[in-house]
Amino acid sequence: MDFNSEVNEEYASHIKKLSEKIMEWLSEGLGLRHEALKEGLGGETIEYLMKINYYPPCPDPELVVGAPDHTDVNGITLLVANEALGLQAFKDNQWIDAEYTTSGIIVIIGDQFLVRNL
Amino acid sequence: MEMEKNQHISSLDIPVIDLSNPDEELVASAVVKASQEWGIFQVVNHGIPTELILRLLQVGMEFFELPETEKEAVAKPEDSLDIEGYRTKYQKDLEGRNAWVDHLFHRIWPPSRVNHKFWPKNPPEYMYETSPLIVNWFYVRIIYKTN
Repeated sequence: MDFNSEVNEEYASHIKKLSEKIMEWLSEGLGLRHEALKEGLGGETIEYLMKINYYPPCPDPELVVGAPDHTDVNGITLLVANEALGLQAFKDNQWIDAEYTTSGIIVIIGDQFLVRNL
Repeated sequence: MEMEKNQHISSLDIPVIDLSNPDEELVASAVVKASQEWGIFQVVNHGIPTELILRLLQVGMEFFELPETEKEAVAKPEDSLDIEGYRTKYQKDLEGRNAWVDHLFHRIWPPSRVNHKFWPKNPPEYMYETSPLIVNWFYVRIIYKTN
């Protein structure tokens, strides 16, 4: 196993644990059993993916944006931020710059969980 | 929406939730509230070692700095219906601006679904701190049924 795989697999177990905790809390908030969301989404068969986005440097930032506006079509996104994220959130009908600390992990509730009356 | 995006006026802290708080009920209700009101929040004291995150950022950066030909070793095949693999994506004409993002996508769990074919074999040594480039890490729990 190479270095990259080792780091990835160690990280996967942390990420899985944190995601499951968040699912438990959301289940609770929905008035359900702790395991309800996790089980509903496939239990131990739930897939976790890693995505690394890389925004190549551009000499003229006015001409290039990183990612256009979008929603996340998955369950939960855990985002490790860095100083140059440029993250915006659509809140109260307008885009705002999302301020965050770089020691934190940003959690984005994806479309699969985005229920109007959560 | 694009117009509004370009004319955004405010900057707000997204909710911060401290996971080291021993009152788990309080943490749970904060998560639910932030999910309802924002759909996005940040967790601090999350128990994932900083050192591990930094190593991960480093190896990821090393991958993207490889020559294009080496990155293509883990490219998403043209005819693949799956999402795994390396892709470089350049989108034109977003209100006169272009979007350029490269990404690497692969499953990390469960082990039975992990395909190491899409895991880079060659990250040369590279110090994340010295880089002017931008890397974001997304850990995505996917429940795609059709994609």
